[in-house]
Amino acid sequence: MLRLLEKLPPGQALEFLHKIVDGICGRAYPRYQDYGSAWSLTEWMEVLEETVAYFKTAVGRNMSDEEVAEQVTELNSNYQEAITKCLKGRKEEIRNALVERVNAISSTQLQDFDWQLKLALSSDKISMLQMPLLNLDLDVRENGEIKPISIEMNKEELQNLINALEAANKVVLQLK
Amino acid sequence: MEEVDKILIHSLRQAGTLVPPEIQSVRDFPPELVVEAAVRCVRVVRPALGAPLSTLLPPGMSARFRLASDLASACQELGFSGDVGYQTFLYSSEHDTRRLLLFLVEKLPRDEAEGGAEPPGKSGTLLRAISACIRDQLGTPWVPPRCRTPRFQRLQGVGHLHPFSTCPLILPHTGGSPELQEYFRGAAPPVPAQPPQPARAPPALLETHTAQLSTHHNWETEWGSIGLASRLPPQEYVGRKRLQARLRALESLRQACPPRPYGPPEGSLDPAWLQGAFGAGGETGGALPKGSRFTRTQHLTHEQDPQVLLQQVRVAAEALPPSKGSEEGMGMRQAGEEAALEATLARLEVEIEGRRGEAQAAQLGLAQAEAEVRQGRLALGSRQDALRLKAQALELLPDAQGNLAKLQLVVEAISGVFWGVLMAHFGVLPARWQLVVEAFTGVFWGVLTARSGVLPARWQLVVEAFTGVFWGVLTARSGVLPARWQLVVEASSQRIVSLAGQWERHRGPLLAEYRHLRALRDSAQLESSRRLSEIRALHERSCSAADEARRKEELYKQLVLELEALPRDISRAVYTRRILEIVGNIRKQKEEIGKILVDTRVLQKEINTLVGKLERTFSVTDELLFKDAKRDEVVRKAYKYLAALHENCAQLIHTIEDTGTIQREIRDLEEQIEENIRQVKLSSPDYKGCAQEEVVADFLKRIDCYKATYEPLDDQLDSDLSYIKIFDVGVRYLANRVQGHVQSRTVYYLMNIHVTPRAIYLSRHGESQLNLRGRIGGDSGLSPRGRQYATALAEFIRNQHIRDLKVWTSHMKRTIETAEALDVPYEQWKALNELDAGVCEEMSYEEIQARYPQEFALRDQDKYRYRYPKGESYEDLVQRLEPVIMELERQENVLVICHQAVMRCLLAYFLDKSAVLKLTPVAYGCEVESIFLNVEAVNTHRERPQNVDVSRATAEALLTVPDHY
Repeated sequence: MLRLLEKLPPGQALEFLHKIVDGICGRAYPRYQDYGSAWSLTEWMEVLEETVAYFKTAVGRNMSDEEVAEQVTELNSNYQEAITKCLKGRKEEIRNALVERVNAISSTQLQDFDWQLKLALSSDKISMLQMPLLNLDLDVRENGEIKPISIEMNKEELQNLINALEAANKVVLQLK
Repeated sequence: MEEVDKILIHSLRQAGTLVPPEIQSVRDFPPELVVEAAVRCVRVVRPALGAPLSTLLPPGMSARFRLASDLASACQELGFSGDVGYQTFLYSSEHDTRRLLLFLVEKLPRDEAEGGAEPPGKSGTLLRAISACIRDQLGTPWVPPRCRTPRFQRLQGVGHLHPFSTCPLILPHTGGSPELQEYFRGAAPPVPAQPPQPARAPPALLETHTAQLSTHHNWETEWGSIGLASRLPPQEYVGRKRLQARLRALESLRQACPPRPYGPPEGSLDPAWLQGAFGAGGETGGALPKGSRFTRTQHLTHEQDPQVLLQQVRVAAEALPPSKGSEEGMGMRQAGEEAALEATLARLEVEIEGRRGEAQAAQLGLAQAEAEVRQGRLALGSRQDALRLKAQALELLPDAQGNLAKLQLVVEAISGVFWGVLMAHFGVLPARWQLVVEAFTGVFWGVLTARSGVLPARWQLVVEAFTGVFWGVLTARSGVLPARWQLVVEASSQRIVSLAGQWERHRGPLLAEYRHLRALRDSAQLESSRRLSEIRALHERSCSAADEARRKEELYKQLVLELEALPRDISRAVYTRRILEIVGNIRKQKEEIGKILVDTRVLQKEINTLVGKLERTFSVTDELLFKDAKRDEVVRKAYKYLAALHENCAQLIHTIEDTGTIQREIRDLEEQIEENIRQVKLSSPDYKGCAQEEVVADFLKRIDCYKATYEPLDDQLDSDLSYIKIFDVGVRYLANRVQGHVQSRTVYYLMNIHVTPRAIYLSRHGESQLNLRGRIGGDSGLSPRGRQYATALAEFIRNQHIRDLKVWTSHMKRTIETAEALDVPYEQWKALNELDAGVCEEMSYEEIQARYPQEFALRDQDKYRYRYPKGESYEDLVQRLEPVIMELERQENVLVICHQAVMRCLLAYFLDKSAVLKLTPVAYGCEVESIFLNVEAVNTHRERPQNVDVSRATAEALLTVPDHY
């Protein structure tokens, strides 16, 4: 089923596979424009999908080396070697990425955050305010799509939030 | 001072002042240069202060004065504590200028020092960069987006802003499989190329590093506290902790999830169950099934609020803005729609109710079904048991004969044992035995029938036969062999005893071994705890060492930075060289002084020898010539010449010597002048808070200035002028042509004053009886409070320990009584008597107003010149007091006990009268110190009223009369 892989020159196979793994681990997937000469667009989609699926199952099922090799017997030995090499080297990383995804099983998950400190000079009621405000931006993944949430907090509220997070961190540390 | 000046000039040049190279010391500074240097320094130190000042000294005198005054105030604002004014710049003295310039130069900012004070290292650089950036941003005004230049675009635009989003990075590390290492060496992209967009690299790096740091930190703290106490190696500790965490997680999962269906106990998880456990499956295919307990409860609570929903809908419907078209038709249609909607809502509500009921029924049904399933399972268990029994029985069936034989054997063995035991214990009791055995058989039979339930007939036969046999054996054996039994029993007991002995033998070593092992374990535990504490100490030490190392590294960095920041020319070596130079200079000077001394001595000697030679030559020549003088005319002439020469020589020598004396005198006089300055001018207000040397130097300069304007008096040439000369602060006086009253009084006065340190104490008398009653004048005695005052005064004077104190009083009773308390001799002065109030003596102000309103008003009009009828005015009093004042000037320490008006005149200004005043006359003016003796007295001072007209009202006149009885 990974036959399409053979269209790629054997020298590039390992690099391509590593890029796929990078994509699985949350970085950039390989770009079509780099491999447009080897595959057509449909083939590209297919090869991408299948390779990803292959890696995911191989690591997710915790297959032994023989089982892994069994699935790619149809391929040329060069490609087989490349696949085993890539899988052996990056297994732990893929596993971590998959564990991360399983961890994100609950409905919403914090993906990223950013903050800005602002000094409010005045409000609609008070002409001299001089109050520092923290603008916290949370990138939350909900049902697969990233949703930005923006919260503005003053000093006390921020302190409350930090306290809550610290308490949570303590619990997490106990479980680590 | 030269060195100081060099440094000063160098610094001034650095501050931007062009000091001409020929100027080597501050002494040579012209006022223009002083002003320029000061202005430039002020500009550098505080630009706001220095900006309005000009560096060029204007030609106009008033402009010069203004500039110098401004500059002086600027210097004071900068914190210059010394005396500074326009004269510092315009008529500068070397010393003042140096002080001022030194102060300003010290205030000059040092760029290098500032650089060194900032935190070093990368964080310092970062902070500096941030602050520079912020300063840059704050320094530029906001510009609308359209008008922005590229620079403003960079500063204020939003084009370069990126969201702070991260992505996981892979960083090369050691360990792992060889393939991984190969990946790191070859195919792994560099960190900046890893994120999908380059802008995400810094946040990603930042996050990775923070995560690593915090992990490390957490691990450190945990290992330091709990980890070490567990006495496990780190890996094992982590493994155990992970296991515990997993167990806990499993526990909570188990509690939260529905029970697992029975199936294969271990192996792959049933996906259906998993889905059930984690809530409803998500509709979106990509995401994992979502939902937790929380979302489920939320779901339920939200569903149960149809009422709220309805209300909301209603409110929304009512709030709909009415359209402006055909209101009537619109209204109708809307009403219809509303009704339809409401009907739908009602229907929906009913449906929801129905559904809820159904759901409840379904839940009930579910519970019932569950109970049924449980019952069924129980029944199944019991049936399985029965089945197993039956299966066993069936297994026995095929080999019935063999089994029967076996059974018989078993039964026989049981009976044999049974029998033996019985016989051994009870002896022979055949009759009872039969009963027992029969019962036993019965039981046995019952059990058998019950157990097998199969083939009872055959079994009965077998059992009967067995019973018969058994019975026969029993009867045959009973009572036959008691002796043998006994033997057997004895042997058994012996065996038991021997066994016990053997056990004892084995037990001893085992116990010992056990104890030994326990001791070993204890010691091992002790050892391990000791090790543990050691390890902990080591850990702490390593932590502290790491801290120390970090601190030292920081310090080192800072020092290196400082070293780099230090300017090359202010190095230690330069200072050392300068100090050495100074020391060398001093040595050179000392040598020069020594040389000069030697020279002087040589010179003296030479002079002496020369003088002696001259004398001798003269006498010899004299003798030689004198002999021939009578005979030869020429020789006589020569002799005459010689005599003249001799005379001239003597004169010359005399003149030279005179010059020397005069020079010495001049030096003495100069010293005398300095001494005089020190005595007289130190207390001058011009030199307030100045050091002695400064005063002397400054006044000498002032004398130089005087010389330019004044001309000294010449004894001969100016003998026709009238003048007074005072030599050496009153040691000698020269009064020339002093004529007339004022002049002679002046001489008198000048001859009486002196500057010896002394104090004059002025005190009013204590409160008198008449004071108490508010009456003026009179000659009454002291009131009790007045006497108290007298004692207090005596006490005070005693405590002062005044040398040669003279006490003066007036002729009045109240002052004498006050002085009596002192218990020292006192002098009475009629001149010190109180102002004579004439006809108003012993009258109160009210009475005066009543009797002489006109007089009273006139007095208020001009108090100084007003004379009471038949009495005195202040003017008279002043005349009367003149000799007293003169005498006061002549005296040293004096205590004057006098009256209100007298004291007023003595001081010429009004002061708190119930106090002692200590006057310390100095060369310029008088220092006044008011000492309150803490004894109250009535106030007798009456302020001048507003209205002093003769025709004023009584109340107005008495407005300011002080309170009295």
